[in-house]
Amino acid sequence: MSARLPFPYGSRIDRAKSLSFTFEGRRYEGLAGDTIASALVASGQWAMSRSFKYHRPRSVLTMAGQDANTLVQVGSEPNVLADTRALSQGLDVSAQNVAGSLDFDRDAILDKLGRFMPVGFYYRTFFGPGKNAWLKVWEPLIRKKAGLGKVDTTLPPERYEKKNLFCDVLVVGGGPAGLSAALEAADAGARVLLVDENPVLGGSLTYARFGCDLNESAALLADLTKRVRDHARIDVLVDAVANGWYADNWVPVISGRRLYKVRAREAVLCTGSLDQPVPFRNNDLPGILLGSAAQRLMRHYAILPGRRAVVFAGNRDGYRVALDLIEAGVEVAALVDPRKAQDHEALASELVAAGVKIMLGARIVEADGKRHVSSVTVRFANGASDRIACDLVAVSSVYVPTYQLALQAGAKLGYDDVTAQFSIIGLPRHLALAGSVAGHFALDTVLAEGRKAGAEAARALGFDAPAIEAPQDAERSVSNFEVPIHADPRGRDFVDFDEDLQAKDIENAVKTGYAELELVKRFSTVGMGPSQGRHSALATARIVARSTGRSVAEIGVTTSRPPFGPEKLGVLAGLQQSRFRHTSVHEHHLKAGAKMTPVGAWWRPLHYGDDSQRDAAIVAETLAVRRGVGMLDVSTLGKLELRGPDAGLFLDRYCSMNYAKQPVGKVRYCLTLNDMGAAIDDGVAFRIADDLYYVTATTGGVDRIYADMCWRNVEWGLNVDILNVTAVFSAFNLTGPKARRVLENLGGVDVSAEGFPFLEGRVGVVAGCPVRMMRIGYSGELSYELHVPQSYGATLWESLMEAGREVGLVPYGLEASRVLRLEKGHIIVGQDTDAVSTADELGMTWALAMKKPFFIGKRSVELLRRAPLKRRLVGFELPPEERNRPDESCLVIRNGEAVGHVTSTCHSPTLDKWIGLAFAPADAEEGTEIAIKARNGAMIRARVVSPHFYDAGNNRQEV
Amino acid sequence: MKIMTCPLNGPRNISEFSCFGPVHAAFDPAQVSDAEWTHYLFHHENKAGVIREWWRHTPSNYFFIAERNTVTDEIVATYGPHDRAAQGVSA
Amino acid sequence: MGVVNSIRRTPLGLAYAAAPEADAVNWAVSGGEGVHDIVAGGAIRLFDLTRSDRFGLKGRGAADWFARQGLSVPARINAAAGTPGRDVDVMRLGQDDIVVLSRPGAASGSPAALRTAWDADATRPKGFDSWRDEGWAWFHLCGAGAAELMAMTCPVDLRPETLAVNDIAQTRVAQMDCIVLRSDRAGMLGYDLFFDIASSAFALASLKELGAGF
Repeated sequence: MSARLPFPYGSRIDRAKSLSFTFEGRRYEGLAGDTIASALVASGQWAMSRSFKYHRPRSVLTMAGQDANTLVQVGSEPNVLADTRALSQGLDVSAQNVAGSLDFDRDAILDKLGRFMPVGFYYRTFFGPGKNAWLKVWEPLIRKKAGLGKVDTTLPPERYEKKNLFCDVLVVGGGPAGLSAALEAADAGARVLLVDENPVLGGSLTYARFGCDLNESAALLADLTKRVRDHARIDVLVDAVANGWYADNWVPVISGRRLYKVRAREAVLCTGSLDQPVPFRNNDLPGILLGSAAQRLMRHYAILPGRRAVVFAGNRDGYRVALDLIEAGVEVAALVDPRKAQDHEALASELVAAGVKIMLGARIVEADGKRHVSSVTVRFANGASDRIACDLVAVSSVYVPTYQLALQAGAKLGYDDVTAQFSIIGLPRHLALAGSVAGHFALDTVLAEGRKAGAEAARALGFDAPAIEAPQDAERSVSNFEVPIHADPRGRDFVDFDEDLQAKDIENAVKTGYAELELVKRFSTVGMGPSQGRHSALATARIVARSTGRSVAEIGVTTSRPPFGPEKLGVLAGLQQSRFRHTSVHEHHLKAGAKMTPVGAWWRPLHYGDDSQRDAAIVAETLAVRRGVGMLDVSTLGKLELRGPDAGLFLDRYCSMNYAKQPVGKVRYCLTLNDMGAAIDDGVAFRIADDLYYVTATTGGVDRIYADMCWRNVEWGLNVDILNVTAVFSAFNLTGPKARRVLENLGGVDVSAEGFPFLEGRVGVVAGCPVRMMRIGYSGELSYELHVPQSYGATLWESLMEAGREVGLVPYGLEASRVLRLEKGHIIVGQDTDAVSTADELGMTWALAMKKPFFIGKRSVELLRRAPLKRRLVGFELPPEERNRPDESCLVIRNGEAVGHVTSTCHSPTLDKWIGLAFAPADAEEGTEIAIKARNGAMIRARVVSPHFYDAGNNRQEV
Repeated sequence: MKIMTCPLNGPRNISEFSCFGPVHAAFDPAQVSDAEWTHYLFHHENKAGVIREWWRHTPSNYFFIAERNTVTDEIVATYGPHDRAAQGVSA
Repeated sequence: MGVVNSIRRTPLGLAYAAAPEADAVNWAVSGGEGVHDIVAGGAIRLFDLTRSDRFGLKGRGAADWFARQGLSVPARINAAAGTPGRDVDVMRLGQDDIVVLSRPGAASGSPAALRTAWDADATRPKGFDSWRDEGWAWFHLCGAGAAELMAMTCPVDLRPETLAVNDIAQTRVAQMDCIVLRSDRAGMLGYDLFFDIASSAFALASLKELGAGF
């Protein structure tokens, strides 16, 4: 490891604490506080990755986590930014996108073959050879070549969290503007959240050279930082990226494995600006970096970035970089300035005094070097050229405001041809800018503009804040000279480092016919890499503008969308808690060995006993109900209470039968239609009192039905109160010829055929539990459905099981229930219906009380009835010799056309044959045949029969 | 995440709400023609500008009316179902 | 329905018989049953108050009926209030959606007595039973970090400086509808949570998983 610069260089490192790590299998030493990249550069290891397309060696460009050059693999974690990831002891780091080794990449040959991979190669070269060439040859090859890191799919899951944060004022960016804004807003009384992506606050104050004395800016930084840290009303998040902007100042802030969902009443963006690379041939060689990156290496990590430098300076900050380099001990061989004149003579004089040759009106046309820059060729205004040896090129000529969040918020990007600068205009309400993102550059202006934005945000919230005048920006007009871009015919003048796109690639995209920027992006992939155009947008806009004879303002940038930077899927996923609902007898099911299944959020027994005996269990449970007695936990059924003087009238309007006339103590079927006349839900209504109906709905439908009822109630203005009591009541359906015996054993309610007939309801006490009982059932056997407040559920279940022991009562599951109901021909809404099935199609004409003046769907039923019925839900059975089996949703075929489909089918244990329900043409009469196409393609001849396969006369349920 | 102001519960994330469609003037389906009825069922105006809709704050089961601008994506006003007169809106 | 009833159980397995009519928090602290450490060491704890008595009425006449019983019904929706000399809190969730909660202390004006009086009252309208004792679980989450924990699962700002004692937020917690009442009933920052009783086990597991990160 080479020696570091002395204090005060190295603000982030602890020289006393050495850390060792490996890179590409070799051992390196770094210091606590280093990033992986700074430790590597300090050790002389510049190359960190190979480029995407040409496998060129790449190294630090921004030292700010804004480029893809430093993406490395750390252990099993891919795509880690080496220039921001803190070094820790024992890290195992490797390069990505490398074939062989980083130093000797076999695919570097691609660099020589570049002309065979023209721009837009995705779209135009992969049609041959032969059929499926893309899938068989090209796609796997390109995927491998373009691969970034490797994902380890065997890792244990990591914990990712989300948290909501609320603040009065959100300040994004903790540089001089952000610190000032936060302080001013907080001083006025606002609660402020300050977010910065760096490990320490200060932004450019931590590395850049401002007009003032160095000690002065250090003191300023210390003062601002301390005041912010000590402020009771400022919360600070560092190492945290505000990664997008969503409506009403909703900003996701990612910090490690935590996603903060920040809601801010006011927001101030102090996101700074991005120093831009300049296209010239081989501008991607290691050793060529942004001026700000060189400053960061020195100030933060005490690293001397080179021995002999050429500085390319298109603005005054380039001159400052040169001064910084000289102070640190770098020989500055030349300062190349593309401008014909400069207006910061004091800086120039300082450099001249230090012996630096300033070359005005000149530009770098080419860099040379094998694995590191060794010289540059400079072309002067008079056409002459000179080659200058160097091991460092620092580029500082253009800034682009970090506009992403502002544009996502709805602001627009303008371009000032005089200052050659993008500017952000048309900001939405509750959002402000300060600092270089707003085009402020001189430090006193930046500080004042920050304070002004903070004060205005506080004032907007009703706090008392002073009016602040910001001084004229002395540095604004010349901060962004438009460096002419001359595409080098030999290429390798990179506009987009991520995607290996050269200036001529952009020109060629335009020549190919893609004159609009969004099309240039899609065709060339410019800006699509990990850095999302942060360093290519301006250069691309300028090239497209020149190539199409328009202004940069007209070209603009492509639409800015979240996320700002890469984010891990784990961060988006969070803890992934999925809700589950248990009935009051969940534990009883588990103890009885139930195989549980999710039904929406609910968990229900599918069947009891081991999964391997599933089919036998279903048959046994079905036959137990037919021959003895079984009990089904139907607690998940939707349950509603309608109460009040208009409850009957409401139900008359909402469901299809007559309810206002329904006597107290009776239970009646409820079919719910939508406005189009389609059946959308069903259940029963038990009139408990004149002004109280207890109504059931399907498990999956109740939330929708309840919400819809409440909405209609607001619209209709009836005197009725509706309550969703689904979770309030547990419900058990006791069914089978011996069901009555079980209840007789418990007593409390007269359950005789005469005392409690079919389709009636009772309120009473069974086993000490207050129950609502209904004589209804799905199975077609003698049934009692007992509803009880859920706190009594376990007691009632236990009492029933105990009372039923002598007659062999068994619990049964969902599978047997589905078989039982299909044998009886009861439909399941949602399975045997679709979005348009009507009561007439379902054979439920009896459920429509058409004499009522109104019910939902009535108008459409009347209208539909004027046309002939096209399809019907029919029952079918298979002849005994049929060996093929239909499945649900298999098509019914007639004359080669699909004319219907199977909705339910099973083997009936009771009848010992295959039965089912299917939509078939309306003329498919009982006794005729329909053809069903099985999954295996076989045509099955099925006989149309009554859907009431079992006990069509209802002799068993009404006993 | 957009914010909607519930007349009962104040400003909340819009994920706490669900939309129940445009506010229609009350009418008796039996008194309208088939054409008018099918127009009501299947024709959605998709107006560019301010529209009035029913919304529900799910946790409190509160229904109210929101006016929002489909061009600017602004929620212009929200008010209870019985506050139309107070808002100077005719049904 | 009496409060002391041995045949009733909560979803998390507590028998109602053992729960005294009042002082559920103190009872839970001393008895240990129904108390869950959300953060190891008890920095944030959860009291399962599901079996504690409460009585809700909803619909026309509900608010007036409670007022006629001499209870202070908050004028503002989404607020709770005590009544001097009566050891209950009255939550107002809507114009006519009121829930009376039991509180440590004597039994006067207890929810059970109110229920008996309501059952016997023949006047109309008097609201309808809203089954809040059966439909909702009742958790109390407390500890200095309770607001931090809630921020991980609730989209509404519940910080003590925003949500005052007796303020109510009807919102979502753990992706389900939930009534949040700032009650501080254990003598420290604390929230009563009322939500779908069938999701009790899920809610406890969810809060514990969040607490594991503290």
